[in-house]
Amino acid sequence: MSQKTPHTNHGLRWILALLALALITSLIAGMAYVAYLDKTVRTQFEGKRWALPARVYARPLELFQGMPLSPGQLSAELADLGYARVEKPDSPGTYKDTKDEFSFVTRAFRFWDTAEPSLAVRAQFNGKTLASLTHAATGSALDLVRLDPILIGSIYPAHNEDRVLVQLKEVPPLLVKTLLAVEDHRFYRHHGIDPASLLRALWSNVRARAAVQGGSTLTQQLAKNFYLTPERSLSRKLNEAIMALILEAHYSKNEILEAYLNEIFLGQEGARAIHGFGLASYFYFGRPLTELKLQHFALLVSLARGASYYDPRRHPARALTQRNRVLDTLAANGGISAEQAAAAKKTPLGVTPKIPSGISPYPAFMDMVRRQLQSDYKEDDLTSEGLQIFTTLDPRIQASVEGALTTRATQLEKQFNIPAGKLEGAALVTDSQNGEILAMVGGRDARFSGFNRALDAMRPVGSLIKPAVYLTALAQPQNYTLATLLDDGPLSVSNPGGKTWQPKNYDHKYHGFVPLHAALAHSYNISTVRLGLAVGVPNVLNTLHSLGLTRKFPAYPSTLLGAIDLSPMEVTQIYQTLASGGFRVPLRAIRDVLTTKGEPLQRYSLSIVSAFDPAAIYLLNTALQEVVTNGTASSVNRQLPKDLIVAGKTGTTDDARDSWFAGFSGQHVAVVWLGRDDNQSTGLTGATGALKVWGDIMRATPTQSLQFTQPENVEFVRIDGQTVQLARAECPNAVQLPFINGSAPREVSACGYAGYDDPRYNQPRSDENSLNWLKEIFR
Amino acid sequence: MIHSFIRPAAPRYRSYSRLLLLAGLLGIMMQLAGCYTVRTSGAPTQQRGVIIEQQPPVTVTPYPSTGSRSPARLPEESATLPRAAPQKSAPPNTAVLALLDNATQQSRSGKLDAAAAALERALRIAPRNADIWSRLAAVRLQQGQFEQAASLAAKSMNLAGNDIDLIERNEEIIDKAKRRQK
Repeated sequence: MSQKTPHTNHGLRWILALLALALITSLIAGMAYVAYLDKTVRTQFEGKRWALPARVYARPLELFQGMPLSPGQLSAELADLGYARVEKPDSPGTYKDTKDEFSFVTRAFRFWDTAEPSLAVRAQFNGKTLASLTHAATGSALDLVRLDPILIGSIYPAHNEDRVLVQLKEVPPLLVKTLLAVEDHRFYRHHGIDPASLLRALWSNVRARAAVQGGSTLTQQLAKNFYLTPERSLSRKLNEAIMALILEAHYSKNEILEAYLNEIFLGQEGARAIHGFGLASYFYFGRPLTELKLQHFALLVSLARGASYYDPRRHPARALTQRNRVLDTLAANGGISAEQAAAAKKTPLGVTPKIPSGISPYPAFMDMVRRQLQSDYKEDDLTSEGLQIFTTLDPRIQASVEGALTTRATQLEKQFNIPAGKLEGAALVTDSQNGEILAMVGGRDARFSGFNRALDAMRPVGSLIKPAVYLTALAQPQNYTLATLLDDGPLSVSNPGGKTWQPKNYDHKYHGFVPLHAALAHSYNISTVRLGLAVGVPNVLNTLHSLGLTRKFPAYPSTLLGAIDLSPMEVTQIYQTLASGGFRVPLRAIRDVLTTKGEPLQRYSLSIVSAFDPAAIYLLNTALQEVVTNGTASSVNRQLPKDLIVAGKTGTTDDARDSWFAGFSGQHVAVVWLGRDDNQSTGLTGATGALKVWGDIMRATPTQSLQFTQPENVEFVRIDGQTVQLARAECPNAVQLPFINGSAPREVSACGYAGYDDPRYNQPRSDENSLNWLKEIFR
Repeated sequence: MIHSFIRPAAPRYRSYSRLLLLAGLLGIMMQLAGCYTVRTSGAPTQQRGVIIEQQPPVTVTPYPSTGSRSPARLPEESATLPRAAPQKSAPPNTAVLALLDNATQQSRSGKLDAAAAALERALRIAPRNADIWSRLAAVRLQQGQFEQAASLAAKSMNLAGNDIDLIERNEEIIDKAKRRQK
């Protein structure tokens, strides 16, 4: 017994010691755990919280008096921007339109150069011209109004969370009031968890027989969304509570609220998760948060409770009921008057019927933008830094290009017995002077993001290459002029391999001796090959490189007829140089890049290279214009306005596998390719296929006529069109052709020449009619 | 406060004592609860600094010269050529004038990039306006971009018609650019 007592005491001591040890361990472990949570909470809250996708914008529409713009185009632009059509436009993002007059209030927007303020504007139209642009209030004239740019896509990170960050100070107070009334009305009074509120919420939910109020505080909800997995368990609830307390310990109420507003999950579109009120506003209403009304806020707050359960597009009735409950709660809370609640309850949900897709409607163009960005930025930065990318896309021109390609492709399939859906195509439109890519379509289904034919379809270009042959010749005025007679008779070329090649004309005829300009206008093959061999195939390739072709090709005689595979984009770059008068301008899809805060990061500025003697280009473009007035592309005149002067070149390849047209007005370059992905024949020539699409594009696009200033060293000389000898105006075949000074023919035709003192010879010409001469002659 | 969500605010140590108290309590409860899950992935935890260095403006590397084309006209050459009566290009519209004013102001206050941006905007409205091309050439010359200055001035010449003042301005730019380039 005596032994037993110490033993018992001993045992008790052991138990006590163990208990004490357990308590101490627990305490230490608990402290360590809280310290761990504390670190987790702080690193994420203070670090870069969200991976923000880069935002890609279209060009902003710039309005000015006298610009070519139809009411329909302005209307389409405002619709794309999500401007609301109202009775009385009095807040940013609203407009009213009558037949020829628009009143609207623009949104403030920060651009690379300046921040545009919000302006109340009145725009009056006269047909397809913006006739006047004035301040809506004062009626005083406005020089230039730049609208905000249309968002055309985003570059998403892998996990597909999407959001548009908002700052608390730019969030309408009414939204905050609504949110707090429903989710956490004691937000500014509790310390992260609120037992009283929990009980009250329980009680009101029982009374309303629905989940009107939640028990967790906003801080708890933020902790849950921010740090924890969505599993439901006691331990998670506990973590949530501790983290809420930690958050409250470290950060102000407003910081927590701002984080909540940006973090909360509010919708889903495919794989893309819509987070935060900033993006939800665009996602459901197509407008920024600042333009929403009470009823919209109530709906968004409903979604915070259950974004899929109350999805207004899938469950409109349920969403409406919940929205109205939110409005009642807010009124009961004293946040709004009963009348305000009643009025708001009468309104429809107001969500846009079309879900604004995270997938860009312009996949081909976005592809181009991405490729340009990837050479300058890391993928990770593009998907996480929230960069703002300002591009050159003109959604109005893009729409007309898409329409033209789709409609014509279907029509041509029927007309030429091509199996339905087999005819594919690609098209590009650029600004002919500054090289900005205004539109790009990579396939018939412009919405389908797949093979981007505009960039990646490498196809033989056929006769599109000929201008390079003729330009090489015309750059040697001592040897070649537009009037040089070329031999279009039978030709055999022996290739290095020993085989002989006998080029044929498209019409399988020989045309004898033809003036150089006519050989190009009618796209004669044999005379072109002869000319190309005379000037040298390597020199023709050099000309192509000067025109902007970067890839190298071997110099074969067949190259002279376009047996090289180029993409529509490469062709566009080449014709761009012709269109801009011999100045090479790299094609650009991006103007500038701003950080998420709107700080300028990078500008892709206009840069040009003077690549040719303007006189040679002037002569070449004269002949390219003849292609349209009198040559292989003359059928397009039925599609175009009578007074529109354009130039270009058709291209057709063997067995009509590829149908091309590349051409330009004074303002735009457009290149169209049609063909089949399986490289089968379509039966289409450049003129019967691609040219039709091209004509549709040019007709739909407000554009200026081609207009080249006659270089000082170029003179117009009247010659006989057939004998290419000097002639008088009265002579039957008399034509006036431009010549580089001193290169005009010297023989006088039988019909006679009035001589160099003939008053009609070499008259100074105004810009306007210098390029009309062909139309006059061949009319 | 600018963008608190980008630049984090400093944490405030408001109620650490309460946290400590909580810690002990929690240690015990934790052992009962057993497991926990914490999500830390999803977003990078470390704030990164400036992500991208300012890139130089895009320039085009010149192609190898074919030797077959004549260079842009040199001043002495074109100065001797006979010219028709001066002919000013049509007056630009008010939008262009506003942008030109803006460019002049930016240029005066040394903001040459902004001046160039305004001129590029003007060119989008009036792409054939030789005066704007010449002004852009002048800005590039000031920035020391001599090749661009010469090319832009040549472009202006190409559109200038008979505007002698403008031709002379361009010749001067080309001349200066060529001399400084060497």
